[in-house]
Amino acid sequence: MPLPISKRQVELLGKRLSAGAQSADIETLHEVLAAYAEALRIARSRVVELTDAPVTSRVKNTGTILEKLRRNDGRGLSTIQDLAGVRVIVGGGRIGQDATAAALIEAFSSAERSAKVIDRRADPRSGYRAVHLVISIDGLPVEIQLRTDLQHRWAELFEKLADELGRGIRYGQPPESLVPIPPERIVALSEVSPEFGRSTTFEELLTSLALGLSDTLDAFEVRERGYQSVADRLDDFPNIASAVAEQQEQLAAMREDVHRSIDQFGPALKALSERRRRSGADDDEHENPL
Amino acid sequence: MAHFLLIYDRSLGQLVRDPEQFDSSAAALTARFTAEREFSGQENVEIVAFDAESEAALRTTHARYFLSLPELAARIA
Repeated sequence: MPLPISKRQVELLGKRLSAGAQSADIETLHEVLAAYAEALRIARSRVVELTDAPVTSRVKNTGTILEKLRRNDGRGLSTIQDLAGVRVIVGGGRIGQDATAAALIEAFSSAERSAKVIDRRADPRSGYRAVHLVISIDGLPVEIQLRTDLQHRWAELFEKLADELGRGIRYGQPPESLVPIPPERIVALSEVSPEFGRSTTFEELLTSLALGLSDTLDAFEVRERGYQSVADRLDDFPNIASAVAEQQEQLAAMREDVHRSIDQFGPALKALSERRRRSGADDDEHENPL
Repeated sequence: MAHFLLIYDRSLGQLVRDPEQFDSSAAALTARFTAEREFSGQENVEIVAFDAESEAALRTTHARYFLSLPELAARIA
């Protein structure tokens, strides 16, 4: 299905929408999104053929589109790459992610243009790591997100945290609704980590903990990939069994790191959720959860 | 394949309604547009139409809509 209006008109539509959405413009946006939905349907059916992993697709919701347009002064509606998005949670850690990315790049190489690869593992954004492929279906971009299980679980957690602390934390902005940390606690936190010690509010600390967790999970995945690549070659090099055992030990130690991170994080998240639940009854209540 | 509409309130951190299922992605998208009119002006309400193999698959790929923060953290450990 072609776009109902030209790309230039789409761009002008974005400017009008960012200035204040009128119902006629929203209707036009819906017609544009219907065209993306058709491109998405085609892309998704090809992806599903190539993987057994869970695959879900969606056209970007209108509120998030308007949010993005406002952040960009109304520019870029015609070039947003994830209006149509497919999410795949790949098995097999980094190795599985690389293999799936390679298979999809090849599968979509006969399309109008080759897939654009955005490796958010090498260049994470506010802790977010994944591999994104942007393909073209009938001239419209479709973004395919490839996440490992750990990358995905972290991303879902951080997105939910952004619901609580303000969506700006996904773009490196400070969290909203700040509850100060008592100075004596800040000293104690700085002994745990200099980064934590820079937090002067509970929300900043939570954000720091989440970003730290992303780094810990990433290090774990990299180590796991190293272990797997050695373990897969055991038959070729029988004498490297001790090296594999060593890698296993290091992996086990890193699992402990992950558990420690969660142990630090879990109680604070529970406190945040509890605070939100109570704030429904009393908006002025700001008990410090630390 | 299954087709769903989710209506989620970010300020509450939970779905406003149970997931609705449709016979086609076009029907889910139409329902999304109708819901957007219903919730017009409520910026905390996120309305999304999904295609997924099943509701279980959707709960895996978009757990944020279904689980609390502590539950999401517990899944990582």
